Amino acid sequence: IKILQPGPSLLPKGSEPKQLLEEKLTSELDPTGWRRQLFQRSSPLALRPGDVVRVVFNSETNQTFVGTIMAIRRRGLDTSVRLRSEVAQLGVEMSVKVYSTSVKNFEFISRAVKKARRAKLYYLR
Amino acid sequence: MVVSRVMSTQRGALLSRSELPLPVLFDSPQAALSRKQLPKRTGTIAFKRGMMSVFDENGVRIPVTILQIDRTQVTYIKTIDQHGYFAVQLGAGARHAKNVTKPMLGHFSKAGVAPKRIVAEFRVRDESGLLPISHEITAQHFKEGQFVDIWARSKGKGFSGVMKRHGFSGLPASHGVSVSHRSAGSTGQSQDPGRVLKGKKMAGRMGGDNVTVQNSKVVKIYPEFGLVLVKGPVPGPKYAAVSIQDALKKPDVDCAMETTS
Repeated sequence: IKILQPGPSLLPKGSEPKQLLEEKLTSELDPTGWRRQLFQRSSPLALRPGDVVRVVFNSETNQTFVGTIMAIRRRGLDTSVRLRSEVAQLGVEMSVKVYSTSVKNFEFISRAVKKARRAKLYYLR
Repeated sequence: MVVSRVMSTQRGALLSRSELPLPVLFDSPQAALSRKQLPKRTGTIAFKRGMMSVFDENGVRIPVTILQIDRTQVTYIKTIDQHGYFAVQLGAGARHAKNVTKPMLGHFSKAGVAPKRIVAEFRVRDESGLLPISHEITAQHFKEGQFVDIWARSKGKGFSGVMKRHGFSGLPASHGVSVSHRSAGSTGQSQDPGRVLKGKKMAGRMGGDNVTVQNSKVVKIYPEFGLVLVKGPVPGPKYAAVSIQDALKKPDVDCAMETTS
C-alpha cells in the first residue's frame, strides 16, 4: 500500500493557538504598549490597588470615570480593573476591561496614601 | 389482461397496468430525501483548542472558541446512484501509519491522502456540494460573520446524580431531613399506576453524547494558522474533534469552495 507522508501543520510545532492569538491581538489592541506598562506588575509605571485613576472612554463626549483602584484582575487580554468612587454620596463601582477598544486612556491621578496591605480592597465597601 | 403491443405503440395511451409509471410513495427513500433540509456545501472537521475573548470595534467583549482546521482533505464521495444520498467524507489531522489499520491505510491511499486521525461524513443537498477527492479544506471555507452549526461529543460527567443530571432541587439541608439531601424524593403515585413509569428521570451516566449547537457566529478567521474563532461555547473537551457546517436555519452561504488550493 502506498502510504503518503502528512504535510506540516499550519501551527508551529509545540505552540498553542491561544498563546499565538493572544500575542497577536495584544500587539494589535495595544500597539504603543501603554496598557501593558500600566498593568504589568514589573513595569515602573504600574498601577497598584489604592491608586486613584481616571478612565477616558471612546465615546463622542469622551466620558470619564474617576475612582480608586479596588482590584486588578490580570488575565492577559481579559485584564480588568475595578474602580470605586463616591458620586453624590452614592458608592459606585465600575469594572473596566483594559484592552477594550472603548477605553481611550487611563490617567493616573494620585498614588495610594499608604501602600495597601492586600491586592483586593473589597473592604472599602 | 394484456393489451396488444401494436395498439399501444400506435396510440401511445393504452398501457398495461405493469407499464404505468408508479407514483413516488410518501414514505419512500426518494420522497424522504426531497423533503430533507440539508446544507448546500460541505462542512469540515475541526479540533477544539480552548477559549479566549476578542473585542469588536465597539469595544464589546466576545467570548470565542478557537477551532483549528488541521490538514483536512476529502477522502471519499457518496452519490445518490451508489449510496442513495450525497455526502462528502473528510479526514482531518495526522496519524502515524503504524497506528492505522491496513484497511484504513488502503482507504487513504486510494484517496491519495496521508493517514488521518479522524474521518467524518457531511451530507450535502446535491452534486454541487460535492468536492474532488484529496481536495483540501482550509479555514477560508468559512466567512467571517456567517452562522454555523457545530456538533460534537459532549464531555462525559460519569454517573451523576439527579440534581446535576436533571436539575432537581433535592431536599432541604436541615429541618429533620435524614441522609437524602440530594435525592430525587418521590418517584411516582400510589396504588395507581402502582409502578414507576418508564422514562422516569433518575441518576445515571451523563454526558458523552452528541450535542449540536446551532447558529454559532464565526467571529474571525486566521487562514495562516488554520484557525476559526466561533462565538460562544462548543461541546466537547479541549483537543476533541468537532464538526462544523453551515447553519441549516440561516440562508445559504455564498462562498466559493473551489478557490482554495
